[in-house]
Amino acid sequence: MDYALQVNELIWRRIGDEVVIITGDGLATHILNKTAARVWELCDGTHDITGITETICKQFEVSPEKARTDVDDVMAQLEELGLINGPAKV
Amino acid sequence: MTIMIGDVVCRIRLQHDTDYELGIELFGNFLTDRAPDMTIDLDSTENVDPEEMEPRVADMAYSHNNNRFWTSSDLIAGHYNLAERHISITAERLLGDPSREFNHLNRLMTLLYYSACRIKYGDNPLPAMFLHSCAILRNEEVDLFAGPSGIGKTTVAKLCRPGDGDVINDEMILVHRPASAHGAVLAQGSPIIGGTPARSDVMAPVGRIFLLKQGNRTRVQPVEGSPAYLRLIRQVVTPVYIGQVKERAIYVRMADFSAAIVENVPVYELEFSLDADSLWETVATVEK
Repeated sequence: MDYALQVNELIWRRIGDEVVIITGDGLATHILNKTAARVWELCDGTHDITGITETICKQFEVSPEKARTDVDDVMAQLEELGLINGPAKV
Repeated sequence: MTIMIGDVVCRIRLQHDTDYELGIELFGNFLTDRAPDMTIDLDSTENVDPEEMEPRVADMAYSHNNNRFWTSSDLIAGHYNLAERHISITAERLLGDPSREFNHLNRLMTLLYYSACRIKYGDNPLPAMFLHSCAILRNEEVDLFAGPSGIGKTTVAKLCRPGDGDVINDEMILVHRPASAHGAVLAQGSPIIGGTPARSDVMAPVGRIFLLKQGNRTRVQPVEGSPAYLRLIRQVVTPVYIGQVKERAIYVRMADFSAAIVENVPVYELEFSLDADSLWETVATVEK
């Protein structure tokens, strides 16, 4: 199974439909839109990519294929930005 | 001299009569006879010529080791023991000149406040934080005009004529987070020195927050969600207590505080020209 985990020292808050992330040193901020915010919240080490995709599919009423594409895109960006670790294969 | 800053009480023992007289003049509205949460011994020196001050201040860097602190230009030194609720500071008297552009007395006040809160509340959420803003009481509510130095907070205060409102403070205000979800956010005056003499000990509900923007015209537009949260968090005076080393904890507090505020108070961006009539007419359009 593939799990991803939010980087520990980040500070994040849900503000309306979005998530705002501040790095632990206060120097950088990131705003996640509705979809990315939900993916982020599910990167808690207990939801694998299949589970995240299913949640996105139901919550946003999109096809499984679209959901998987969106989840892959978001997680690639979150990992590139250094906001998540993984997915780690368990 | 014992003063209240928010709901904490600081007893400040001054070594020189001239310092005491200045303290009473500046902070007289905040004197109290309540038991102190913290005691500060504050001594002043006159070792630096006025013409040497600016270069020394420009190069000033803080150092900290165990419970002692000092600056590189020998302008400030001291030690503290929060378990005994005591701080001792020796500083060049010129640093406390209220007419200085960067007022070190304000830095001292915020440090004392957050340190006394550390003693009183420990790791619990702070009940109130300082916000860089001009606070004006209008129609029994406080309008906050927030922004960094130079953005126009004092200008807004100076444009406030009798009948437009009462200036509580034009530099910093204590903002109390709501006691419960969707509760009232309160603003409280504080012993912070601004560009006007206004420093009143008033507490009232916050009606709205205006994020100031310099411009050639006067207009207001709502700011919501993430932009409001991020712009507000940048105006929160960093809640650092003396000796604090955990940087992340500071930002967690600021994040929690800002999120609570934007959830309960409407936020606007206010661009304004130097015309008092258009300023207050524009502000009134969102007060209804």
